[in-house]
Amino acid sequence: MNRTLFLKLNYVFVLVFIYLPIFLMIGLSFNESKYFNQWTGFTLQWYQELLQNQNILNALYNSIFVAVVSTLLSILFGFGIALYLFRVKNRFTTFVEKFIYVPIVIPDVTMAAMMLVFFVFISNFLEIKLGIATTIISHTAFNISFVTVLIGSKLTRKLKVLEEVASDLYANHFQVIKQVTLPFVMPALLASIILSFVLSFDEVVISMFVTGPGSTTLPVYVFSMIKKGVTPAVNSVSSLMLIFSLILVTGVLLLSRKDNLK
Amino acid sequence: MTYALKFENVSKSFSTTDAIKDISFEVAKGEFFSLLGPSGCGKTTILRIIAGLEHPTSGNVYINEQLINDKEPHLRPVNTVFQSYSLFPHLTVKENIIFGLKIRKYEKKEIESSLEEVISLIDLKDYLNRKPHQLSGGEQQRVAIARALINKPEVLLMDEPLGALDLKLRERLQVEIKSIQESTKITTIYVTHDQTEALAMSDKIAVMSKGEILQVDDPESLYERPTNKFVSNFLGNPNVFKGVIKNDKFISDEFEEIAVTNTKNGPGLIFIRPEIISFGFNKVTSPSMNCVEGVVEHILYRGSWLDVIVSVNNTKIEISKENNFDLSIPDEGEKIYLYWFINKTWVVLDDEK
Amino acid sequence: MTRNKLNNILGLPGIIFLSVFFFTPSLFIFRYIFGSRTRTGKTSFDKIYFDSFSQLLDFNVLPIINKSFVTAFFVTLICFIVGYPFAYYIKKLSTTMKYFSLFLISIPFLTNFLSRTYSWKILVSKNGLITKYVSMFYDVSSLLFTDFSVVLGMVYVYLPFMILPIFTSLENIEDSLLESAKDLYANPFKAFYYVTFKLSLPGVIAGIVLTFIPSLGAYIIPQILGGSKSMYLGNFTVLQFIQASNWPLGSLVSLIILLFMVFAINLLFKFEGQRNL
Repeated sequence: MNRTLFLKLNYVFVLVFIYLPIFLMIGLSFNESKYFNQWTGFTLQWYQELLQNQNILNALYNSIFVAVVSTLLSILFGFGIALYLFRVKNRFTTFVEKFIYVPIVIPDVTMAAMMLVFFVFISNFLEIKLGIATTIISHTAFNISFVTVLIGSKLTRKLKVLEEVASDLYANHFQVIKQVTLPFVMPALLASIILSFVLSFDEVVISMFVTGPGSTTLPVYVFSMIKKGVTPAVNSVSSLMLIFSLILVTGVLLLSRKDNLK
Repeated sequence: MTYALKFENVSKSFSTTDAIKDISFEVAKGEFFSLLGPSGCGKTTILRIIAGLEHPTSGNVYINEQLINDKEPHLRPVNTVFQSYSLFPHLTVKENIIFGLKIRKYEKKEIESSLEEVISLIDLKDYLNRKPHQLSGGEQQRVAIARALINKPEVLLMDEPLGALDLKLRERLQVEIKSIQESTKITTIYVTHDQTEALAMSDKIAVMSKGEILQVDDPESLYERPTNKFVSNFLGNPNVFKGVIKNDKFISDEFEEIAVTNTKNGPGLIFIRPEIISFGFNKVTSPSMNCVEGVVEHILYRGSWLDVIVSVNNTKIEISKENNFDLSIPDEGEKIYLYWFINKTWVVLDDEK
Repeated sequence: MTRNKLNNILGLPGIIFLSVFFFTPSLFIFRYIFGSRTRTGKTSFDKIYFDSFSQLLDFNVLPIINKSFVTAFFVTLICFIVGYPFAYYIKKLSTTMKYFSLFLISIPFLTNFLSRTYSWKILVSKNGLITKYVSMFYDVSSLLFTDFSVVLGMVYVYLPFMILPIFTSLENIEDSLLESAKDLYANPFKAFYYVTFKLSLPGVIAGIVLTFIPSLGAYIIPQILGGSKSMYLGNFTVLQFIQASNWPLGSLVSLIILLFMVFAINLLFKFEGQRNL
């Protein structure tokens, strides 16, 4: 009996441990007082201030732009690689299958360093400045692997049979992809889109290294705000970012749940 | 044009194995042709080569005298019914069936009339708007057949389509498939490991083992006059004995002499099918029959027939008899005489493989 | 268009992109390792320098490495102590509660961890709830910028990484195995250890890898919760690039982090391989 009690308490403790800080932060963002040990009233003023903060709005715009473009590129490249690895089996593809995991496991500090070092070297020959473009390229570089692995996990034997059936029924190579492959991987594809977007949008360290003045992304800006201290402004922007990615991630999870029921 | 499909010395090897070696055969137009053999014998490989999903390593494949070795699957006048669960899950039954027509951009009217035609052959009217996961295994396979047939292919391929179904359903669909084939007269290549299925449905059967074709013949010839050891053993459930044939007599450790007809001398095997053996309580002496004495060991009740295991000398012979209720069945332990026609003892000498 | 051509058009663009923008940059790290920081902060490549290596020893990097390892160790340990029972408990729940609990754990796992780290910062700063609670026992004015909050902050962020793999491998254990274990071992603890725990080992190892590895190379969390004064591998590296402009040393340390991770992954998977049931 003791054992079950302990397990139950642990369960509750973990959930409280994880969610309490989040709710606290969100709650505080509505607190009139600047100090978080007193609650003086409900207000939206901090959120309103956010909307007038030009720096934050710029950073937000940059983040969205970078996320959208890098997601687009990652999906195109990643989906292509996934199909390529699914259909071609030789020594080269076996190597790629293993190597594709490296961008997923690489520490963000290491990747940030190597991208910076690379771009600086390139700028000796080409007119490249650290900015939006370099951020997009860097984000795409690690996102491709996530897309490839996520979609790749859904490219099963069953799909292979269906593709053969379609060929047997007169579908040419493009028609097979359009009529059979795409519908089959659609949930995984949608999940990849959302995941790529979230990973790019939330990314801090690499962006910090490869963006330049004027092209700061939101997480990088917020990070510098956080380092300075606990303020209502940070509370509200943090809460917003959290809720935003919460919604997106719930979408991913629901989609992959639907897929597993197939 | 004489044949619908022809294989000429076709071999296919994968990196580690040879799937099929030097395969040659012809299929006439409108024929129901089966590839029969155990798992791994290469029958599915042959089917996939016809469909274009694999390409031969060497040799030639012709459909209606056209060489099709490297032609892509979507350019061949061939359609396949795959082994199981090959319906597109995101499409309805109707959309599945008309897939091949829609892909080739047939007009709506043509599609509708072709659909009507196929439905008249295979009744699927009630299912048209359902999705595959709402159908049973048998219903799904019928949809798969309709989906292939609607395209009126030159050659229809079926890869063990009934393997996943239970016995009664299988037997019902065997009849259905056979009657459809007879009325449409489409050349059909049917792959199975089930000999009763092949014997029941086919015009011709190619028995295969380990990548080679051992014998091609109509069912009756194959069953009653097999030309090699494997085929004899594979079809039916014969009693097999090893010994030496000398002067029309078979001699082995178990039997002193068993008469056989018109064979050469030498070591070999004899096959005695259970269903040709009769039994009685008196010895039978006749120039056209063999007779041996034995004791009943087991009687296996199979419902509509009986398998009786009889020990003879120091071996066992199995006989099968229809269960006629007025037939007097011997008891276990009773002495019994087994007799059969000499010319029904099938002999395969060792040098005939 | 032939099948081969189509396949190549599908796959090669992405592979080329990765070769240029991932693989090649990784080679550049090596180039910088053998450079030298000039007075102006730029890097000179006139010859092969080994400055970065000597600086590694001079700058007392070893204590930093030690600290990162110790921290990662404690983070992993705490996550395991709290996480395993959690996974074990939810396995016994009804299906809906089970997946709902997982859902609750998974969501924060992928959301903005900057925000989550910040929310933890609130709790441990001067008037934060946890600081208040702890100050009842110890005399501390602020838990912020202590190793304690860094460790707990990492536990806070990485806990789901431990729970999910363990849960997955526990789920895969058939109940029939547990039944026969109860038959074999009269003692429930032995039944648990010899059967349940051992069968869940692949998940435990995955969980350890997924917790230890990021903890080792963490930057954001130590920076926010530990401040600029506390040095872990992650923020030491960033320091070299951004403040100190010592790119050779920065490159070397970032490579070391990578190598540690590769080594740890290999070690742990080799360990799992030996235990293949």
